[in-house]
Amino acid sequence: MLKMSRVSLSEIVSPKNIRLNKSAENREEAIRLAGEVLIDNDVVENRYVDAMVDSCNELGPYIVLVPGVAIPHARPECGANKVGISIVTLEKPIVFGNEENDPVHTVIAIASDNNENHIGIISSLSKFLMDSKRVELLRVAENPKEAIRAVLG
Amino acid sequence: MFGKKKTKPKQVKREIREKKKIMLVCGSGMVSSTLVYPMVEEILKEGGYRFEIIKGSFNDVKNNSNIALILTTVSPLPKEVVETGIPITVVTALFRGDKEAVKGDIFGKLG
Repeated sequence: MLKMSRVSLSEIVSPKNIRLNKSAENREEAIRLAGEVLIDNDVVENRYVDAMVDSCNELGPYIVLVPGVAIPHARPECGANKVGISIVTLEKPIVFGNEENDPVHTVIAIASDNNENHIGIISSLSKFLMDSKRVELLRVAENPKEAIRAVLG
Repeated sequence: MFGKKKTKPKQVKREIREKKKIMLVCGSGMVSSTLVYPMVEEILKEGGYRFEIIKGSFNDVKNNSNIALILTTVSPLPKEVVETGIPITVVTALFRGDKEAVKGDIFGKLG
């Protein structure tokens, strides 16, 4: 709870965990796109991505927390090696099945290796999610620099 | 010194409200419950409740007793959670900044 929980969003958001204007055909593909970025950055094992997909299938599309943005994630024990995030914007918005907040244009996957370490990034992420102007800036971002500016404010 | 009684300051008696056990649940107990935690805490403080918030996933609901209210970001809720009969408030409106609606529902259910 001490040192690691202070990992801030600005410390872990970088061009290598951002992919812009990717194409996906459906909800699962969109989640897997964000999952692949976590795998590429050694944040999670493959099974973590499966767990994110399963969780969305089991509990429904509640992960679309605000209009246009889905936050897939799974439990630490599902194969998370460390705290990490990936940000993927979609070329074509995807219907996740969340009537209120569909369609999804941005997928932000989160992983944490325990129950505490991600708390620091969640509170800054909260500020981003609640600010529809910044969400819109991320949706239209054309390069990682613009995307980072949108997310960090 | 001796013989002189020192009297302790009398504690002010307040009407003690029952401490409410609030369960904040989301799918994994990781992300959305963490996101709404500060907002929920603020609402409960505004209501003047004595409370304890337990964060968790649906599986944790059955491991806790005397839950006064379940707050959740997942809707619809799994059947087994609804069947517990514990009052439930869906708090997703907080993400839209609609605090008043959620507040009204929470206060109504906690009494």
